[in-house]
Amino acid sequence: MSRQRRVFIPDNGHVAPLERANLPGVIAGREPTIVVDHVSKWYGDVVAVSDVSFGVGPGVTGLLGPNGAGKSTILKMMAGLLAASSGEITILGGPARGRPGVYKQLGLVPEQESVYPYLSGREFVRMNAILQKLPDPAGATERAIGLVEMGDAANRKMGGYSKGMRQRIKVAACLVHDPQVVLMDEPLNGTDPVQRAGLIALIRALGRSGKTVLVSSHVLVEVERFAENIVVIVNGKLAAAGDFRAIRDKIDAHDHAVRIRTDQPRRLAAALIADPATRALRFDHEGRIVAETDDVRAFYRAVPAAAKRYGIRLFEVQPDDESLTSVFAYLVER
Amino acid sequence: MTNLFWRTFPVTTLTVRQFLGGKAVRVVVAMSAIPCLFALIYLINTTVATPRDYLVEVVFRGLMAPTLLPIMVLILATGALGNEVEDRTLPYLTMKPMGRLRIAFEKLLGVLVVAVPAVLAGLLATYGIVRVAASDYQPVFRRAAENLDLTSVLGPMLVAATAGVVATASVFLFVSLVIPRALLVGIVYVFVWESLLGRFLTGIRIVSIRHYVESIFVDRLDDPAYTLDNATGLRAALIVVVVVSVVSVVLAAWRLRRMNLE
Amino acid sequence: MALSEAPIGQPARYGEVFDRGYKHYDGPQLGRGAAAWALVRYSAKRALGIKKSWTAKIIPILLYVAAAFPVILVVGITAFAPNAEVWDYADFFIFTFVIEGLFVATIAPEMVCGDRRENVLPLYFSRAITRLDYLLAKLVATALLTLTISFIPAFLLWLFLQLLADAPLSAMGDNLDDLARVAVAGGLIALYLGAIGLMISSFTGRKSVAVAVIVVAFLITQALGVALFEAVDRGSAYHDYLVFLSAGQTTIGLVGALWPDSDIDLSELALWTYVAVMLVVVAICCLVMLWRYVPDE
Repeated sequence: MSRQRRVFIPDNGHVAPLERANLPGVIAGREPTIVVDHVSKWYGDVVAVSDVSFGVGPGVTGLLGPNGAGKSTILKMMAGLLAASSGEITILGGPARGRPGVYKQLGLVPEQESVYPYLSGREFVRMNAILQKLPDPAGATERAIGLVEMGDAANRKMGGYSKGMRQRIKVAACLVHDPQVVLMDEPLNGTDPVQRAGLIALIRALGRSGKTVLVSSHVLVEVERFAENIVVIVNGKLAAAGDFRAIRDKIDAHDHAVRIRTDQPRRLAAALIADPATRALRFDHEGRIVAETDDVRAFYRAVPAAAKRYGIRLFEVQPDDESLTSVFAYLVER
Repeated sequence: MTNLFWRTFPVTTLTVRQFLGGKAVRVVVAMSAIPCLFALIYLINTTVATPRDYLVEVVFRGLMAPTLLPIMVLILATGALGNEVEDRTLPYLTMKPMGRLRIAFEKLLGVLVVAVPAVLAGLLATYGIVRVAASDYQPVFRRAAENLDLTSVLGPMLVAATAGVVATASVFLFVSLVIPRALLVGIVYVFVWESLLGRFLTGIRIVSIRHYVESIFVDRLDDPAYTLDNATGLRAALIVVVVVSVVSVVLAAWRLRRMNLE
Repeated sequence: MALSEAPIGQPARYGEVFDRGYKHYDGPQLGRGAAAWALVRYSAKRALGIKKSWTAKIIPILLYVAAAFPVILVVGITAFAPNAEVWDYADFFIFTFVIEGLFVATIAPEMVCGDRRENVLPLYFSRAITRLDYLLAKLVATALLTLTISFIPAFLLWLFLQLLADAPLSAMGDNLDDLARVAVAGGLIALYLGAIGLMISSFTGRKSVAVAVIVVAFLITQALGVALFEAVDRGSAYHDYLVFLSAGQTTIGLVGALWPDSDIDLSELALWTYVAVMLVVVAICCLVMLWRYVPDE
């Protein structure tokens, strides 16, 4: 596909005004199904989501970020379960909250594992079908259970399900009414490799059929397998949105800052400054080395090599926390 | 048959299944048997009261109306939606193209489907045992024309109890959506507000479910031997019960619309 | 944060554990006793709702207010009308029993139900704490908290009444026996009710169910006890022992045995019988709890 991809990486602290035609995360010329418009959510003094704006169009989009970044909060606000403290979320042209009609076109796989332990998987999916007012709940139930390959265990009580089975039956319940918009909160958690492959294939198929699918995860290699478009959330802020590879290229072109704590900072600094991967070095107030590099991979090879050569002990090597690089390094290295 | 229940009242069916799958319902059933224990004790020694007195004063006005009925209903009503909030399963119900009023109403129906039979069965069984005790009862209180008729007590008991179940269930269904420890709050309400304070401050009775339950009971029983201070008339009491229930369900629906689900 | 590409620190060898900045604990290890005591303090704080939302605090606060109310009333009346007939200690304990019962129903489930529900018991038992330590810590925490409502109000009543006397110091000396009785009653009641509440709570992970069962158990055994007490012939040999059917009757009986001059006329049993039976009940509750905390396998 030779579509032009746009990538959005916000500057630190700078908030661009929202333009519908130019929404982060949305491919040019496409109409977003979900629009997140300057949304914040805070609990007392704690800010969970801070002034986030992006759009999600048809196809699979990965919602990526470390644990606790605010992914679940964003998904719950999209699903209408939580009210945003400020800003607005629009799904299929209207607000998600206070509009039960939207749920005919919207499905959510919640983050929590809890299900009704006293119901069988089949009863649970069927209940969802009935509550969706489907004309043929029994048929829809069988279809949805087939999608997640739970036919064998569907008559057992959910209380005895493993984590992976719970995830799959939750997916079946979410898909039973064939919604246009599917939100999944860490659906691959607790699944084994075979189940994971099945779910990933299902997610890709949903995306190909033109549905808007937003899947959160904190594991980048997973997201790579089903989503080309990603939205990265860090500390409740939008860190990046757009095509996965394009974002990575942009980041690689950025400067990287790495902090190193060691028993012999001056000696290591002397060794590193000689390395071509290092562009600049300084010391922070705690005596750690802060190194800047253009080639992070080469630099990460150079540090331990130098330490080994000169018998220097390394206590800590980590990307600078403030930067997007650190998030990416974190996500990639998982 | 189960299919029919699921299709007509899915949330009610879910709620009943929830009750039958948990421990709470066992506590409720055990409690409905408690008045029977008292009736059995009465079998041991019938000299403490006439059978009619025992049924009216001890079983209904001493045990059922002030304590057992409210607690049995509280356990179920605060669990019906409260457990879904606690277990974070409520999104499975709220994320459906279905009015919030329908969810609230069906949940209430689920509570009633379990609570009403439990309360009434307890009363009926107790009535049966007291009847047995009455068969060999020798009048010891030489009251003029001691009234030994038991049948006329049964109807008023069942009617008043049903009204009490409906009102308590609706109110605490709503309360459980507002306060996390709704059952404890309910128990404090029953013991401190209705029982302790109600004894001293008669004005409080206007805002006490128990007062209306007893008003209905006394009115239906229509016996000058059993009275209630400041009793509300039957029609007024029934209107209060209905209005309180409807308002509570509407408030619960409103709360379901407004609340944030983590 | 992790590094993926090369080992750090020591010469590379397969299977090495790398220092990634973990904070090691080098301080003293205080052992089981300190761990159990930490659990006591933590449990007590949580049960009172300290550092939780106001909805968790409101009921303990209300119960404290309710327990303080009669103290203020009695002291107030005595201050203005020294010869008025007000409550004696026995009346006081009978009144506060309801509050103590509700208090235990509030805190005991808070002590143990959450641990069971959230599956954190294995975490406790894989630390320095044994199952017995855990239970004893919970029992101590429950009893100490209950003491604040079963002993402290009564103690304050005693103190204020002595201070109101013409010669407070000598009055204190003269009435030391009352203080001892207050201490025995408060302590025993706290231990006894606390153990029963905890035992019931150990059967469920749902706090609300535990609260309801505790309240119902106190209430119904009380009503049943009274009913049986009246139904059974007073002359029969086992009549007096029926008081032990309910926590409420037992407590009233204990108070009656401690203050023989009060108008409590429940049974002829001696004080030591009450003490012994209450301690046996505590022991039985502990055994049941130990059984409830035996590993599943």
